[in-house]
Amino acid sequence: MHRDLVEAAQRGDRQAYVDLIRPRSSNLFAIAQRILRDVDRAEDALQDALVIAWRDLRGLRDPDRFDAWLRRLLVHECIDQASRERRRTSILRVLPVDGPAARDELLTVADRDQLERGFRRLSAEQRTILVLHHFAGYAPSEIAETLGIPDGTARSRLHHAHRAMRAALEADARTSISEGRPA
Amino acid sequence: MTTQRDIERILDNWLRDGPDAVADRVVDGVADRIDHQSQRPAWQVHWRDSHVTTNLRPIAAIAAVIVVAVAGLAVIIGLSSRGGVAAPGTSATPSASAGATSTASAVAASSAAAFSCYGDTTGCAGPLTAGQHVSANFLLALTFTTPDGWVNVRDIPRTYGIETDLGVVAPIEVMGLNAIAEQTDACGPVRKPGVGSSVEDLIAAVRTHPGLTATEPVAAEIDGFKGQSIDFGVKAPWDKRCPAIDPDFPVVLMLTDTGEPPGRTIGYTANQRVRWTVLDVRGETIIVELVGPAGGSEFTSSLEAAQMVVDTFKFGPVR
Repeated sequence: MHRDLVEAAQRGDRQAYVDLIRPRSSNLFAIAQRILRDVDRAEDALQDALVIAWRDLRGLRDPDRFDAWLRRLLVHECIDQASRERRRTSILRVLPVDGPAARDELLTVADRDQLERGFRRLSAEQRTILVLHHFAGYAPSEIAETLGIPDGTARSRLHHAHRAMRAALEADARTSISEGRPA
Repeated sequence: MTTQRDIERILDNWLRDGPDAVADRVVDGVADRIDHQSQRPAWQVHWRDSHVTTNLRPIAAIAAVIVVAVAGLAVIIGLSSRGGVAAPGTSATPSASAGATSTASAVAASSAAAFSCYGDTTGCAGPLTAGQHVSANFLLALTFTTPDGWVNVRDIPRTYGIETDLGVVAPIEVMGLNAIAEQTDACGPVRKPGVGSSVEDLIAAVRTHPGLTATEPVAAEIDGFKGQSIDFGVKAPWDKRCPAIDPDFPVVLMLTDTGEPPGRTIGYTANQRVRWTVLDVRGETIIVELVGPAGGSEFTSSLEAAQMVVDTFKFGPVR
């Protein structure tokens, strides 16, 4: 069914393409929202990625790889969007986390604010790697395939992303203490 | 002190929070947008010049603002009688990447507002009406004439691109600020050290590349500017991979740019055949690139309509 829809969409069947992407869109949106930390920008990134996917769908040689290919387009669109945003704004803003209330009672509101600030200090690619690993459950080899980088590079970048996140949290804690706020 | 294990556990928990369902209007918007978006043929889908480098971005942004302002003024004073053909876009929210125009036509400008330029670029004109056009941002003022059905998909200082989906027609990209790329495992834009950027340097890089099979170069001339033309494709034994460019087939990374840092990554894959016409235009080395399907007769026929447009090229002064 999935393969049939991809092949129909590759032949220019727009309805088949919409039927193909609709059930996948929430999962893709969730990934984009985690990377971009903003619902509107995640929606924009998803929509742009889905239009690009339609445009370039005939270049996909193996219909069974549609999902991996689409995720790759999405994360590259997110990285582009996040990079643009980083250049536009030099001031970090802390926005409330969108969505339902926290599921993990161990994380307090202060924890979440600190995580939000720390996460936003990371590069777009570091955020993407962390989301793919910790939210989407990707192994480093899958991250490598998604980002188009060698396996070893993916492992190394995941390691560096963890270190960067730790450093960002510790820097944030120091700032908070120096400003007389609880860390 | 937060340990590595702490960080991993915290991220696992924290990233689970957040919305998991997308609004229906997002996919509905995609459905609207693809109604006006044709699909590119398989051989045309390859890695292109997708990023405005940081140092060029302010120029493009300023140009876009000016052009949008001019377009808005033109519409206000009633100059919108010449019909545009661009599709209305349905964005989830107003997009920061919405394109702006590059031509003098106010109608083309308003059309371009709905057209997404290829890659992370702005400033392209989008659908072109039949007639003469001029680039707005490319490093040379490039003037040319098209029939109906052509679209300006990229207009940034280092690249100007037009294409049409009316038949199997090679897209045209005119590229300046050229540098031969290094084939790296990371597949990023890295210049190959020790290689110059003259006409002879670029032609020699194609002829001697171990991953390419190329014709003998021939003398070429466009608008009185002389150079060389060469056809090439990816050679069968070539096995270097760039999964983000092509997950299935080997890729030859061929061209980047002279910017700091370079931003262009152009690779070719086995289903394409390419013609480069490399010219010396007032001291700038310019590549006119046509890309078609790999099959010999298909490639030749794909060039015909594109060549008719290339034959109208007039290169203005360096901006």
